[in-house]
Amino acid sequence: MIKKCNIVVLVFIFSNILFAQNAVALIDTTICKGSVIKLVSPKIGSYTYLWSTGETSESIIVSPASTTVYSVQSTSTAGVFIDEFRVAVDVPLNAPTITFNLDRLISTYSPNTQIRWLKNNLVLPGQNSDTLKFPLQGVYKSEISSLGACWTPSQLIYVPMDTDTSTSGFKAIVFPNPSTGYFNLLLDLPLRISKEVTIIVSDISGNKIFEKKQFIYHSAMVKIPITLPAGFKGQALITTMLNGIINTQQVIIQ
Amino acid sequence: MRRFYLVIIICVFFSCEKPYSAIYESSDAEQVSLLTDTCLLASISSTNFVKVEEAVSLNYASLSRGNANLMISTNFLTNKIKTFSRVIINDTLSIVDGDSIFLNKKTKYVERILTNKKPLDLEFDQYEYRFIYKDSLLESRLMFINGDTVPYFESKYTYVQNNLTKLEMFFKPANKLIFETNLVYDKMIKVKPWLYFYSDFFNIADYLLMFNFGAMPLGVLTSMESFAYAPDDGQKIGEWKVKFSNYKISKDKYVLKLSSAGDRIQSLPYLFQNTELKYKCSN
Repeated sequence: MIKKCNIVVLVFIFSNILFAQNAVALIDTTICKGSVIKLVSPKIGSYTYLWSTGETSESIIVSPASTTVYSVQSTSTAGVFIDEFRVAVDVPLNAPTITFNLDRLISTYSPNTQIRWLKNNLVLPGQNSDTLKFPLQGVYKSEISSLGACWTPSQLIYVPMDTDTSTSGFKAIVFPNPSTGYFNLLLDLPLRISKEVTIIVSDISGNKIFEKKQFIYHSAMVKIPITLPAGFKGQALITTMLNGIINTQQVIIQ
Repeated sequence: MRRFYLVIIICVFFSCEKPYSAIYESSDAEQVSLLTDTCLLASISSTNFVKVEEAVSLNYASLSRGNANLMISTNFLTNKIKTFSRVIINDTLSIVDGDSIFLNKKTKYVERILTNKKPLDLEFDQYEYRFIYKDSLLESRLMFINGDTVPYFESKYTYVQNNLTKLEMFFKPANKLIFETNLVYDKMIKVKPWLYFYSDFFNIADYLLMFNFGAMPLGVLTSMESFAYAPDDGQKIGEWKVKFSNYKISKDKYVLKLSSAGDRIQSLPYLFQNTELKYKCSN
């Protein structure tokens, strides 16, 4: 409904500014097959109207089955004005299918059509190819169209974890330190993420004494309890690896 | 100074050696309420290694269950404080932190939550949760995102004697299980309502403490296991396991303390390691 109003306003401004008496204004618009559009004469006021459909009102409502040109003749004491409206009809395409493969979503797609991607029901700007790389956690679909009026959606796919490789720093806090070998690692992240974090504890010579992988599920604050093997004492290095960022903390085990 | 460290080491050793030895102790526990049977959670804190790490305090305008007006959440490790003030629009709508909470006029249970953009989100996403109850228990929850008319996720809850025993979250368009939690309770002990254990309240976990989501469990939780799955092949991509023990229960059956061993459940961050609960009672 909003889109239709905008078209009407454009017609009015365009023809009044640029077109002189008796000129023909051609306004192009595209609708999805089966939908209706209201065409309004750009000449408002003391006019009589004659549309190519035979109607004599200021506006008409049309729903052409194929691309059609409509015209309106608006007559007043100032003269006769003719405006044309070309209504192109977009036909829905068969639904595309998308698949998720490691770090990308791929959609079936014909080169002659337009494609766009939506994450959580919002259009992703600039994503107009059959492949969407490194999606973040969310629900995705592709949509295809011939002329940009009818968008046919694919099925919905849920991507359970972020696949992006963008890096952002995070804060790691070990508590208590010194400890007896049982402590918490707190990760304070700038944004909610859904990713696997890897924690490796090694002795001062670099020998690995503990490793844990933990899935962070759409969270910005993670607390991970760590229990080292009994008997280990001395200095240890806790290495946290998240999205290519490595954070190393030193902890003393008493 | 040396004596102080010695005490700490003994405590840690004891809890590691016998993590699940005692389910509860109540013989010498204090009585929470002297005059009334209506007590509500006033604070919950998580103490680990002798230091309080996280704490929440709750204030109520009236002691009707699950309708806190103010919640202050403090993380002492990061020194972050979050304050949730409830603005009451009318008897069925409250605003908290920009989120709209819709309550059932009769039961006061939360029927719908419409979230606003949060600073921690990378993109603007608006979540809508719809809660469906049966016999005063939360039966299922639908989750919509950014105005889509199709629900993306559905959680289904299973109870045994009013205790939540299973939670399953599905990616609804493909009907695929993506998250589940299994909960086990002590078979003998019954307590007063204390906490909800809905582990799928990831982004809205704070509201579990503030609002009324139907009948609370009356059981003593002894273990909880959660798993996240990839929707396409069902492969396990995350797991969280935790056991609860060392309950301290008051003479009038309020849970005062408990310990846990294992992972931290994201939606229940205060049930981690050592938890203490305090209550407010009406006169």
